[in-house]
Amino acid sequence: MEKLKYKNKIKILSSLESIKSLNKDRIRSLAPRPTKLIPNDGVAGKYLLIIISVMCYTISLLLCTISLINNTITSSQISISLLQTFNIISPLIIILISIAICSVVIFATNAALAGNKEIIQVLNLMGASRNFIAYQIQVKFINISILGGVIGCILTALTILLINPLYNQLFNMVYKYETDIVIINFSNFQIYEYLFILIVPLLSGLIGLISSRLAIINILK
Amino acid sequence: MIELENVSLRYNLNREILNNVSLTIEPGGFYYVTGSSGAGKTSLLKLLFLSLKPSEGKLSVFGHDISKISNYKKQLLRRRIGFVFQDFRLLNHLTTYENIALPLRVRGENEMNYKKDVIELLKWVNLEHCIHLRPEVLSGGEKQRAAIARAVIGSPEIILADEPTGNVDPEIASRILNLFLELNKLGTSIVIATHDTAIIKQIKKPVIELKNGKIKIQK
Repeated sequence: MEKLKYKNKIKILSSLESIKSLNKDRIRSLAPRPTKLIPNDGVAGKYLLIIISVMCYTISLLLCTISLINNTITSSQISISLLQTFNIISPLIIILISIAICSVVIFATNAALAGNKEIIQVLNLMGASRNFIAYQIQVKFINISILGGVIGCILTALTILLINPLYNQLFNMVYKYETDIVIINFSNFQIYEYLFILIVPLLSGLIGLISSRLAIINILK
Repeated sequence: MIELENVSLRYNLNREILNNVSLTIEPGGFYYVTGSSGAGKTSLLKLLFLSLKPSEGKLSVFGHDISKISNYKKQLLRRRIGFVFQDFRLLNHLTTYENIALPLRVRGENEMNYKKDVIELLKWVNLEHCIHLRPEVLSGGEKQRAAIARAVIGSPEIILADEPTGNVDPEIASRILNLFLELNKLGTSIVIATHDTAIIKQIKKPVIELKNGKIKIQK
């Protein structure tokens, strides 16, 4: 009985060893799973994700700052005019960044289409509809855009939470000597009041969806 | 099934490929398209496959005038035609199984519904051993048979084959031709573009000969 158990153990261990020695391709050939029809997106998705994350970070940071500033107590006319200017400029910056995200996604989609031209031709010849081909390509870009938005939001929340103690120290130092300052009190910052920044991943995903769709349909035509 | 009425085809440099050609492909028919290199065999097949538009004349496919149909409708018609490309056009990142299943996958069909059909088709073309292999490791004959299986999987009403025996030895060429003959017996129309006279002699069928943009049909 003991011998049998030992033999079985050896058998299992040796089979595990043989699995370990198999490379990824071999395992895939033994147990294939459906392969993506468009294998690579033609652009480095990692860099696209970084760019979109940074842009979304800027947008959500601006949105938070607008919200904070609108709840700010000011002690002088100069401060009020400064805040008003900021209120006008920041939406413009947000629009510009959104346009930049749109352009980046369009360029990346065009690169993906160029990189997979032959595959797209074959899919077209097999009777695939434009929507089917567009879906195969744009899923990646929508995912990257949403993920970029989420990363941007998380970074914004972390930034504000990190700035808070530093700002309070600075504020206490300056307030002793200066009366004409804008009082933005980060210590009152409550994250649940700023949940609206969650629209950033949605906005980013929407921009990704529309811009990649436009680029694909334009080329497929 | 497919009808060409006074069709002309010109490329950008005004080089006339087809000149006022009229032709009817009957349901269940078997045709060879022959002609010297550059005579327009592939262009004629591309016309029939809706990859090219006639410069002049009328082309009707399954009763639809292709000059009047939308791009989406054209794709739907294309699904009723199987095409075996001269250069196979197999996707290198997909396995043989996935390549053969591709026409059904792009139609959005569930894999559970077609898995059995694809495996049966792989057996029919003797490619069971290649099921998980990618095209880059297949021989010319195996690629050709995979391309035929892919053209057949969607149960097309007509199969257009561009030089299907061009890259294989005579023995495999004969086997491929027999595959087409079997399909034809099941009611599928077959159009084979070839310049291989040995093939034409092997199975006697109507020959569409292309010369100087004109066609001559030998029955």
